[in-house]
Amino acid sequence: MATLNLHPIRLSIIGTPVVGQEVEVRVLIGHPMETGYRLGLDGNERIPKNIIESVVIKLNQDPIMQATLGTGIAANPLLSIFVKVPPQGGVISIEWRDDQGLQGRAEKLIAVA
Amino acid sequence: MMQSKVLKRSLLKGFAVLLATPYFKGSWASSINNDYTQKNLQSLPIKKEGVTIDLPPLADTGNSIPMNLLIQAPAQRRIQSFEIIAPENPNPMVMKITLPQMQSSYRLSTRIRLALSQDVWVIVQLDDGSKIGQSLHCVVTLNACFDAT
Repeated sequence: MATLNLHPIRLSIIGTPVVGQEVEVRVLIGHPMETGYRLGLDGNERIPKNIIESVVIKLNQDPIMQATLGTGIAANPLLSIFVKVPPQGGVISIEWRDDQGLQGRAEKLIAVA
Repeated sequence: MMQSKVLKRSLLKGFAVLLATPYFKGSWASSINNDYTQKNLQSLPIKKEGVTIDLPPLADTGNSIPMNLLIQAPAQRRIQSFEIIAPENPNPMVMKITLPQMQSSYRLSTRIRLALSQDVWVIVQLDDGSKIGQSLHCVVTLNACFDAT
């Protein structure tokens, strides 16, 4: 399951991970998050709704956050969460799915010194 | 003869219940959406403590407003899930987050859309079923959702 280039994901770890402490994980997904309320260029028809419905963030395959998103999340959703670094480090992964069935995935290694 | 009548009636009753079930389910779902009105949220029996919302008091555009959240559960309690609610938006439920590994404190940053100037609510469900929450007013000069741009 490869991430579509149409909807790129950037998954970043901010700062140096230290075992037992929290590290900031930022997720930025390129997605229009169309609400379904906007009118198209012709001013007659509405642009169909197209939003990310669910985001799951996992640390070493264990879900640590499950989010259900509505139309109230801005375009190109940004999520910043703080994760406690496990003793051996690990892999943080994110999976998203939108209401048109598209899905994307990204993962990043949390390397501890 | 009598027995067959009773059987017929009970079958009809069962059929009627089957037909009515989706209707009641639908009305139940719509009543949940109605719970997100400003008035209902203000009358919720929740403790206004432990939740810090960081939103700009005045936002130039409602299309993207940075929001920071800090939730601190009361002593010996853990956070099960929380919701960000914007009651004046066409879809009031902005985001619902469930934490499979419950935590005593949680920090989150995101960017939200606001259709109108309004109080933004955060309602947190704790592991014992009680709720804490907080609201913060945000004035929006250019509304999102309703314009044709």
